[in-house]
Amino acid sequence: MVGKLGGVIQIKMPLYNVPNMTGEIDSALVETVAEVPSFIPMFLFFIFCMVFLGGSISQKRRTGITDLPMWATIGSIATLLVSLPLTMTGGLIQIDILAIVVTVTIFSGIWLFLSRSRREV
Amino acid sequence: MGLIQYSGSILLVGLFAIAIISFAIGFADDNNAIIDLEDDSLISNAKTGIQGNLTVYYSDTNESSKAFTESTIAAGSDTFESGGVWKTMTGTLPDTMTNAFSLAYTRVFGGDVSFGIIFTVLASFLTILAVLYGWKAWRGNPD
Repeated sequence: MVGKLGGVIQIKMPLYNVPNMTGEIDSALVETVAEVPSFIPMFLFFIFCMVFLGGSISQKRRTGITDLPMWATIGSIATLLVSLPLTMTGGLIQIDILAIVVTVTIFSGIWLFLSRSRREV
Repeated sequence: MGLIQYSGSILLVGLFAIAIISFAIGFADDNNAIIDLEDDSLISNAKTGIQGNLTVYYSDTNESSKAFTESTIAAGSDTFESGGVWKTMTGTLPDTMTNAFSLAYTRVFGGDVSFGIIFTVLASFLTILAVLYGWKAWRGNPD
């Protein structure tokens, strides 16, 4: 690098090149997805089931009733929030998977709003 | 499920669908994502369709409100002379559900004929329900 300080041209050299410690981490995941195409869909399905089943079972244990449409909506929104950052790196998720996640989220919302009683939203 | 709750539920379904799709598209635009949901023609068409339904619902509501305030009721009558006030419930709102159902039918089930009958029947049932609710409200005995 060439710089000018007080009219004197100086040649600047970096003292130490900071290595990129995270440079190849994403490639590990991308290569895994390339070898196992169903990895991301199964991962997203795991996220959905964990929220849906865990929340509904926990609610059943605490209150005695289970609001399945609500937990389906929450689980699908959580899955959508996990899948959206995956779109920023190529090779992780396909647009078909993202479209299915969005569709399931909308369908869960339909189930939620059509299952409310008179006193609820 | 009463008429107001039925209409409110369908309206919220349309708004929820638009919110989810717009959020996903906006995320891709803001972060220059490689995978953009706007590239999916089915999702884009569904969003455009639902937006169109809600726009028509907005204009129908204004017309119905105007017709309601300008309507007259004959002495001793329990009902409105015109059923146009309730056309917003039976016209555009079930179309919102149809657009959302067709999106799910094609995306999740791949347009399989055996699943298509389920969504066809469900959409028809919601339409019939909307018409019955509108007729019941027009006759002066709403829920």
